[in-house]
Amino acid sequence: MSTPRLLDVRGVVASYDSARGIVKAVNAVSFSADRREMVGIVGESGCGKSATIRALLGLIRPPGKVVAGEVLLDGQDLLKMTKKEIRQVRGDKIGFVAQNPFAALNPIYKIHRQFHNVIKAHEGRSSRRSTRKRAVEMLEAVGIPGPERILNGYAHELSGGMAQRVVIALALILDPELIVADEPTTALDVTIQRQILDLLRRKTVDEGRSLLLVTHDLGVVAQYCDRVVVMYAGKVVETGAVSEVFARPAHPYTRGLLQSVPRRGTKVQTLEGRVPSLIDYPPGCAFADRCVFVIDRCRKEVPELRPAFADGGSVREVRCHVNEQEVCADATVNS
Amino acid sequence: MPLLTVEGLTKSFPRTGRGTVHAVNDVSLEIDRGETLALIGESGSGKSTIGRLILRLIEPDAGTIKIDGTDLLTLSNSELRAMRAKMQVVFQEPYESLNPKMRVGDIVAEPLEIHEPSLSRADLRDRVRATLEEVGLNADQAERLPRGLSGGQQQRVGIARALITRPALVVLDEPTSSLDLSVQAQILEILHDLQETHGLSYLYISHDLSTVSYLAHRVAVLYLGQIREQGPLEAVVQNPQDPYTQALLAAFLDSDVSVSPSRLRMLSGEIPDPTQLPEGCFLYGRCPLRMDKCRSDPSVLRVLGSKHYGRCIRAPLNDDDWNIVADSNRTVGDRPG
Amino acid sequence: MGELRHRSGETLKASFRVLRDQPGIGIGLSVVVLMLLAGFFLPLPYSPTRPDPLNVLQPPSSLHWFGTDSNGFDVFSRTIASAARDLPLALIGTLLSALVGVPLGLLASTKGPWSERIMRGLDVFQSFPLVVLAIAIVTLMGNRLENVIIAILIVNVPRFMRLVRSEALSLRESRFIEAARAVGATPLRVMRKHMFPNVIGVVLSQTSLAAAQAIGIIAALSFLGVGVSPPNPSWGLMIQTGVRSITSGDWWVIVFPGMAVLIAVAAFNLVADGLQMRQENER
Repeated sequence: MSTPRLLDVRGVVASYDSARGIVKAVNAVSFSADRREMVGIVGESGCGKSATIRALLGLIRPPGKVVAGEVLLDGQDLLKMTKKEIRQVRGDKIGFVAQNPFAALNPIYKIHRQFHNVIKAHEGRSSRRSTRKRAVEMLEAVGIPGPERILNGYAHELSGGMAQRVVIALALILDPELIVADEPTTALDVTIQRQILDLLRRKTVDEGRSLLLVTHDLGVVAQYCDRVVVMYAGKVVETGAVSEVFARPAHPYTRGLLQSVPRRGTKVQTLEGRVPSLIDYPPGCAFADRCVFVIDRCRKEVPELRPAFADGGSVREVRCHVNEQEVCADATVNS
Repeated sequence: MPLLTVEGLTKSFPRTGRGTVHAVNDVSLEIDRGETLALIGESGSGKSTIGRLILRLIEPDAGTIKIDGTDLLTLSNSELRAMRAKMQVVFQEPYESLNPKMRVGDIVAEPLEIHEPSLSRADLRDRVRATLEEVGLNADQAERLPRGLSGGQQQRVGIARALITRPALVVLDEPTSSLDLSVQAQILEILHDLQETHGLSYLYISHDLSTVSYLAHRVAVLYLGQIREQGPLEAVVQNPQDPYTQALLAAFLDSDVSVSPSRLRMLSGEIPDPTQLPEGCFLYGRCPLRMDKCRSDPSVLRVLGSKHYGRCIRAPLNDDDWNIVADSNRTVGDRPG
Repeated sequence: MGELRHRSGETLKASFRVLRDQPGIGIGLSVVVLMLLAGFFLPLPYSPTRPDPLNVLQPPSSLHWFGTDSNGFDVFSRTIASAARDLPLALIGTLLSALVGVPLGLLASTKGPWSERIMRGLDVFQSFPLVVLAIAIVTLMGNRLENVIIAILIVNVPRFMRLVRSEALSLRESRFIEAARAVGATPLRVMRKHMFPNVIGVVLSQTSLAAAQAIGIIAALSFLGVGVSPPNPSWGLMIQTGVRSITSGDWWVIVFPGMAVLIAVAAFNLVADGLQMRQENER
């Protein structure tokens, strides 16, 4: 009935054996992304957002492993691919933008060499001149003035903002359909942050790509993303359109997170307690101990992801036993 | 009389290789009792250096620093150490600022051991316990090593250590920037409550507008080690009168989806090399509103309103000034739909 | 009081945990202790200092387990007895080196012309081959046990100083040292309460390593005839005697003391490795 989404992540479980037991860092995570769509993955440290994108990029290393689920990109399951195939997909179809651009760029190679290496690795033989031409075009497209000069220089000569633009250009040089960005602006100054986000948004929406943006910054999600995936303790607890989730959060954790943003003149609302250890996973809902809406059922029965605000017309999902109307009722979150 | 008066604070560091980094350039500020002054700016603006200079953890090249009328720079080493009971600091890195080999209780007790050596063991323990409880830790945690605590708990230990000698001034150097949002909220609440109960004065160093607007009474905006604009929070945030402040505020992304992003106000280029300070107005090279006069005239803080000071000679600014350039900008962050 | 007991219990538990995670430390220490006990208390079949001139160069047998050397000393008795001399010498020399080197290293890490001068002096000093220097000094000062210890100090004090200084220099940059200054701690207190506990780990590891080397230095000195003087037993002396016999095929004279040196050195190295691993795990 509907065209398949570009990215469809279904029930992915990634775990590793620790000395104290099996840790499910990614616990049955499902979400999807369309073309021309920016999807934000938010949550606090330890919620599994980074592990999730590592799982879908095939970057989970032993002792960790992906034990279940599928990651469908254009209908192809990335988790069934060999290491060699997945390496090919990274770059060809998925571009990756890391938090620290200086860690992503090789300090001993000139920038043009790094473009050359990427192109050669994926397209086989390629002439210096043609890769150079493509690199210049791409650097111009990401708003770098004087790309020729940049190409002949090294990463350490760049400012943080420029280096991140170069990383984005490298991620886009093979024209991938999906961009995965892990905290792409966290290491940058605020005045640079907007420029980078604008650039990513243009490259996604205008050019028909799809972008997964992992961040802890709710402002970034609120102002730039179309949809949001909220994660807690390795699970997705809520998904939906940003404009709806942020205005009417259906999960108590989402609500608490939004209320944690400090604002002038209001007493800051705090979520007491902390994320439970993924080893001693509580029997019911992982958020129960911190939840103000907690009912008996929460401690006994693990909630499933279910549609919320079903009458609303759009796709909202929430993992909570409590009625979403009740959760968002007094969620005059932002005033 | 204000609790803290800083005048003409200046500091430069020799840079290995060549040149001198002019980190702090003629900074003057005041903080009243029970008041929070926020220093905001981007990395390299000199905000953390100012915090350290005020505590004399680094020696300034020039300027005066007076706390409660005492000129810190005239104090001998031992007088300065005694003074430290009154002025404290909480650092950005919760774990790194705690000695990994010391127990939490000993870390919090140390300032008292130094400043009130006559205290009996029992009194010392009671004070430690009371202070731990005040920051939301329980007394059992005194026996733990810092490694065994979460980031938020570690930062509470840092706050308890800063607080136990009942200081008048606490420098908060980005105390929540490495913490998760929900933990940040807990720490901010503690800081806010402590200020109310003890009448503490804070110098709050941050780059995050949301926490600044929560804690601060007044704001000073730093650029290249210089205060661009200073004034009451409302005045600076709602009516910024410096192109840099305006650009900085416009970059802020509100988590409230009903607030549409403000039009991006971009300064051209990036922060210049602090080894070579620009002539005239420091912002000249990047400012879309610049005039020839900006380069030739000395850049000074002028009175713009009640307790509101700014450097821009074109102030009061009006929005139309920016539109000329904003529209010609290639990046405008409007979210479709 | 209760708190104190509670704490020492904690420390004990922590020590057990370390021994479980780093068995090398326990094994190495046990070997050293066993060798010391044997050296001091094991009843010996023959006197280690009185040779039997009628039984020279006897191969290992039920009478002489490790055989006898060219002077008629029982190799087994001397190998065991040497442990009671060589090991304490090595340990005392190394511990004294640490005792002198650690505070000097901490001092040398302070800012100012003082520390610069100390370090430049050290550079000059260390540009000599220290083992050779030590031998020369012991030769000049005479053949006494104290001088062996001085030789160990000459080699090791600069090492401890450098190690501690470099650790302390990086510690000085750390946030918690700045925090200690900010609460008003005196420079002395900063060193004592904040720097020292954080360098003690590497110092211990270096101590074991240096002890292993000290065994070698003592052996080398004795071998060259400037350390322990005959007829006192020492592995180095025994090896020296053995070298002369090895050409004639009388291997046992040199092999057994050689193995003793090897085992002692390996034991100290095991401890050093274990301690270093523990350090790294903590970081």
